Amino acid sequence: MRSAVEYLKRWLHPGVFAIWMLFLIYLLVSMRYVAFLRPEFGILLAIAHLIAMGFMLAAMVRARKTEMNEPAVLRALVLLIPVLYTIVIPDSMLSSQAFKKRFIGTHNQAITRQGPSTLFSQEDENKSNPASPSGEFEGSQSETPLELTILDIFRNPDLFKGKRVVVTGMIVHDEQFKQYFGGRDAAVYRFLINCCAADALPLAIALESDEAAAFANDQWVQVDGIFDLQQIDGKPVPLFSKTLIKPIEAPAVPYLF
Amino acid sequence: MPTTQNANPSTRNTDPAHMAPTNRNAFDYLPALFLIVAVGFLPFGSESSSLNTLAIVFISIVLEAIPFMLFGSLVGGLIEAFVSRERMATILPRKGWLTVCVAAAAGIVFPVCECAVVPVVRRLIGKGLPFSAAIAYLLGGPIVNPIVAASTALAYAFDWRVVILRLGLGYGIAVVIGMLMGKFFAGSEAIKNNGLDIENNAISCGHHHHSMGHSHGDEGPQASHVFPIFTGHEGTTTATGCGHNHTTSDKWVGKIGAAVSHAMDDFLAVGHYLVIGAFIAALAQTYIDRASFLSLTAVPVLAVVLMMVLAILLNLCSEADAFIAASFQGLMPMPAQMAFMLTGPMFDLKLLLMYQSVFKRRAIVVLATLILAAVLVITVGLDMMNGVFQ
Repeated sequence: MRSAVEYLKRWLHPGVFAIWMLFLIYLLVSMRYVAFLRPEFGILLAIAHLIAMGFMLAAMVRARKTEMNEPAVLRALVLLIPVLYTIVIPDSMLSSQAFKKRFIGTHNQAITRQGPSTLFSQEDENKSNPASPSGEFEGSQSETPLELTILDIFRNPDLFKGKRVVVTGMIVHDEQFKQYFGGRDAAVYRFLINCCAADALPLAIALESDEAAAFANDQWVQVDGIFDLQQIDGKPVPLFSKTLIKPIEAPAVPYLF
Repeated sequence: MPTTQNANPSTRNTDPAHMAPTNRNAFDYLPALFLIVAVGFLPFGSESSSLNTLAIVFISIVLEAIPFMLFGSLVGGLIEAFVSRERMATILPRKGWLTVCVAAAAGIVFPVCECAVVPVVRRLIGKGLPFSAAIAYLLGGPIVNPIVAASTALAYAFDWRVVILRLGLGYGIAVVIGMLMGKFFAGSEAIKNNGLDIENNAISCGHHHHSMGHSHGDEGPQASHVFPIFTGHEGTTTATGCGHNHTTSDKWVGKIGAAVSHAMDDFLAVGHYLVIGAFIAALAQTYIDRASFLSLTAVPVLAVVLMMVLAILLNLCSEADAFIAASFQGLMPMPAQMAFMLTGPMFDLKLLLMYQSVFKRRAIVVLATLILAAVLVITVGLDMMNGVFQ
């Protein structure tokens, strides 16, 4: 028994690096890493895999003449906890729980990457009619819908005002959203990731629809409706109205990048 | 004269990754405590969306940081194996203040995030980089670099004033705090001995060094005088790290091997702090309601303080934090957003733990106090300057 423990102690570090090597390869081959990181970060994980391989070899060379004490064993075990979490995690997708904790309103300029935000500019406020949707609103329902992402709309909201648009996202409804959505409690949302899920920003478009109530939180849906910006308390609120909502399967990559 | 040492290759390893510090402190129990808590929070068989979010954020932070940390460790190992103290001395400016100024801006040439910079700084200190300059690079590197400039520009719709302010203030804070830390502490008072024996002028690698032939390949016979030996924790050996023996016959291949071995030690010494810090950050991200921060923004100082607290709790990478800061536009004043972008790369929960691998506790307390005070004073000052962001 004692020799087994000693053996384990000697080969723990090579084992830790071997597990990390396999873990990184698994994440890359299965593409599961995109549930946590931007797709472009795959190259970084590949590099990390190679470095971990080098460390494993170095640890193997050393293992023959190494004995670890208990604190060193514990520190090595700590490194395996992320692997354990990845194995047991039930669902690799941020949900409405994260949305509720992170959402601070639709007044979000971080997503406007190619120029000053038009969603929140003064010009918008002047052009938009607080009382009713835009002028194109009524006659546009028969248009061929534009298939967009919520991010596309947030980047160029003016471009799509009054247009019939189709987006996919998850449903969220909660009383707390009424303050942000002009009394509406439902929205369709996605998360925008810049680096990893830790920095995921919730992007939401309010739903002016009775249909939304039929869907549970986090149900993936396709929303076909008229997009508009409404001014509420001086702030523009992105909104879908005259909607057709249908449930869909969750996409392979749940996030926007 | 340096003492001789046991050069037996079978000598029991005493490197910092393997050894427990002689003076046990509270942090010895940290890994054990963490393992218990982490297993308790495992989302195994649970339908709790909170636990699921916790797991996703935890894994995300680790996966995002670990390539940089591995790479940083490798760079540190290469520095250890290939850069002698003499060479380091020739690279560095002769004037101390100039070294600090150069170090704070070194991120422009060697862009690093805050996860990668800690193992690199560990090795640089061992190679003789002055303590004040090491602090300047530690604080400045993750802010004053082109990647952070680009991400900040992108997040703020190419408002270059924000980019210049962030990098300029980050640089200034790094220089000032570097110099102050140099005044307050001699290197040996601030730096831990686990692999870095500044007082004895020992190298940090942990290889067995003595005057009769064990040294790094390019150090030559004089090296043993430059790098006196360091007695291990048990007093039985003079190893300071990995325990490998390198002779003057070591060539390129041997040096590469030594570099990887050093790098592995660095990773093992710091890696668990990253994991524990990421877990604490994930807890904060999962359970803190960001909107609740917004109700206290009427007082500018309070807004700045809240955003600093948020930066410490969220533990975001310096290359991504600008996007989160920018998401508070219109909700938080710009100085508060700037406080968020200055605090995070210099001091957060993950860094607090990672600093434990390099600095003594008193030095960390002073360093943290200086960082927080500097960011607070500067950003509140910005708030008082009318029209800066108008």
